[in-house]
Amino acid sequence: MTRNNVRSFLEICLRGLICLALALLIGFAGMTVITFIQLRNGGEAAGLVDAVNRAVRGGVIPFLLSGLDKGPAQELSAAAPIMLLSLSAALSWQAGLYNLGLAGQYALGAAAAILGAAWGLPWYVCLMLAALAGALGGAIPGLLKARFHAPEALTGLLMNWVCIYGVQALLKGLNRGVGLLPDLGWMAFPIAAALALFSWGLLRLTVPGFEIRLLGDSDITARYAGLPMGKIVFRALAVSGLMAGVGGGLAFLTGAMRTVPNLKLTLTGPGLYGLAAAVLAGGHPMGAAAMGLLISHLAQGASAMDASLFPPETGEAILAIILYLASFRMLWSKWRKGEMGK
Amino acid sequence: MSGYALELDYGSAAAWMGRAEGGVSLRIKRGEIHAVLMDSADETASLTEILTGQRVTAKGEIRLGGNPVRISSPRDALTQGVGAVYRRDGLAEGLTLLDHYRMVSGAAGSKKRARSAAEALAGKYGLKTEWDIPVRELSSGERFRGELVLALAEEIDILVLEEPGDRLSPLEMENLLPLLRRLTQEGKTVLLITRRPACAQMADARTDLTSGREGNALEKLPIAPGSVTLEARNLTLIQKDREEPVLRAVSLEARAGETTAVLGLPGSGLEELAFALAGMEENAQGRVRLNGKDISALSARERMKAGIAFAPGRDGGYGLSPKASLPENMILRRYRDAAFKESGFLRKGEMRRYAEELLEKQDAFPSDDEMTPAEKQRVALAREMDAHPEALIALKPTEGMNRKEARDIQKRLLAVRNGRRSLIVLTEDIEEAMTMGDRILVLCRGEIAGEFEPGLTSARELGLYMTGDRQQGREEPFDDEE
Repeated sequence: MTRNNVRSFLEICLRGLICLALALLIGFAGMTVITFIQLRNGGEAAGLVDAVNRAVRGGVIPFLLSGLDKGPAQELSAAAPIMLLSLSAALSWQAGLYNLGLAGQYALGAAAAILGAAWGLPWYVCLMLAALAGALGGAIPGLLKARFHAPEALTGLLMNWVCIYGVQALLKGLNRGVGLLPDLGWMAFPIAAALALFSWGLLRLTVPGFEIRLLGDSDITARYAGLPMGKIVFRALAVSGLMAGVGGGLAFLTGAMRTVPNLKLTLTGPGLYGLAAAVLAGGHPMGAAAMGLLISHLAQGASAMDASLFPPETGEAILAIILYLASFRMLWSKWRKGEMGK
Repeated sequence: MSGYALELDYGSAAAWMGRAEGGVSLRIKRGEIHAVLMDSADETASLTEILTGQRVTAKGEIRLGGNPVRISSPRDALTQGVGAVYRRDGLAEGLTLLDHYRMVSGAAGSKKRARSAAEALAGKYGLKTEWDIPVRELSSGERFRGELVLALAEEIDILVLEEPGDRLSPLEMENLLPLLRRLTQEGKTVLLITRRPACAQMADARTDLTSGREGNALEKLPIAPGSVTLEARNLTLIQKDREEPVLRAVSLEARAGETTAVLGLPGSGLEELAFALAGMEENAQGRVRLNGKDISALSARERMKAGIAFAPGRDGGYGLSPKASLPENMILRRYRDAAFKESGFLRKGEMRRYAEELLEKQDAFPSDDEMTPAEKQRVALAREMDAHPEALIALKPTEGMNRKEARDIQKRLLAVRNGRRSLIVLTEDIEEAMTMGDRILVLCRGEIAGEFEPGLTSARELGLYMTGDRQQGREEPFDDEE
């Protein structure tokens, strides 16, 4: 049965940090090797110590710290969209569902916010429109699953394309308009944090939340308890979409994004990071938000590494290693219980 | 080279066997049929896993023929001459036994040659089974015999049989003995690992690893059965991927103050019947009535409200949600009741109070976060019985428990019957059916093969009906020496 909630939250944070440390060690070793080779190729007579030095200064340190360069407010705001996407993924996971359509819902939310702004609506209305758009985006796979048992991973994934291309087409002429969006500034982070808290409360304290958790826990037990499975699936995916939509809205309302959402930007960037953070957190909503913050920080750091030494993908590679390590969950629980069976 | 075929020494067995005290030490002579008697299926499973390399720990030593060995995987075990037939069959449902044989014998050569080899081997030991039909259509006994042939096709010195009594009826067990004897005459050693004393009786030598605590006897109050409470008529269940119907026109009547035991082999349809009675099987056809009222269209929760309690046992996760908290589990089926709900929020305080009271009253408090099967069952029963049901359906209620725990669960179940309600127990355990049941229905391949009174029948007779060798209503002369 469950343990203390705070304890599990802290455990998740600890685990995330341990994964980070391990991944860094691996990445660091790789970076040193690359630096070494690069220096040699560049004709410099360099020793190992030099290589380590350069790797650390040009690679590890920027990776870890440059997120802080622009100041905490900026960084936290930039983290909000990824936090919300992570929350979205975690929420659907709680119900045993895989909302892979969150990138599309993100785009829908962004589009709704942009349109709202273009019509001169105040920011909170824009955000609500974003939430609504995201929720609708999640409701469609939800409906399809509830009625026709269509696998939501598939329907969501395919809807991503529909949403993103649709949004691109819709906003074609609006490129100039994007820069005129009201800047929420510092508010983005508190909003994201509040939504994370709200999700936690929803799941732990309310009846619909209880139903969602039960469904995700065990299919048989859900039937045994007589849960209205279709309704719960619909609700879970709609809420998950809502979170993703708000994430999209916030991304644009805070001025973090200056271009119309396009495929590469939403799918490979925040969408992927959000999913990764949720996996890192094991599906726990608050943990997902925390991991979202961590990953966002690292993502910003990734782009600040010394480009002469490290190809820009290095940062993402390290993030991928973190994710890989985090998925060794089995190893974690065995390690904790102190038993090594199979 | 010692005279022992197998020696096993695990000083402190606690970790991998869950035994509170005592180590495990086995000395098995070559050429004997040796039975190891243990407390529960979990323990027999653990020992089997160690011997066949499915579980590797550094904590003890195994010696084969006097030489210490390391068995690191089932394939490794086979290389060292240790083969096994397990409690649950490890066959692929969609393939045939012949396919399995060819996998084992290397798949070289033609299908025809493989078949004649397989049949020759089977014939040599008198093991009759079907080689060309998909495994899913084979009976429990046919699968067992098939797996025996597969094991014998490898060059093994030691044959481990895990809980054969769970897969075979008493008659089939008796028929197995000559085969085992033959194997030992060929110089092989047979190891029977079981929790059933009856099974252990068959062996030449026995190692008793039970904790020796028997419980006291079960008390069935002399009660004249009352009216029919739960009634099923012509329950039929057809599943898409099975050719044969899983349940065929099953009818039963459960009376107040009576235990109706439904007894069947694995695969006979017990689980499906239990789920169908409880309302969790959407594709079931037929009528179910409670106190005369037709409830066939009611969902599981509605049936619960109407008075049918269901303890689904291991197959249904004991009706508990692993990640939910204990109070949440206690109100699992009643979470929409006004007592626990307040404008959409769960009343956690109420829930916790209810859970604590209930568990105290029923003496079902689990000792720890990680609950054993017995503790889970106690919690589930506490919850189900609190609703004062008209009928309680218990599916394989003591599966995986040791003797003492099983007795405790059985006593709790009987409280329903002694309280003049209906108890329906669906089980694979003949002994359980005979001690708990006032009437025993045997389920064989989805149909009711016969109805018995425990005092007027024997385990042997029940076994015959369980395997389909005999059927009531179809008087067939049975030419076996009784």
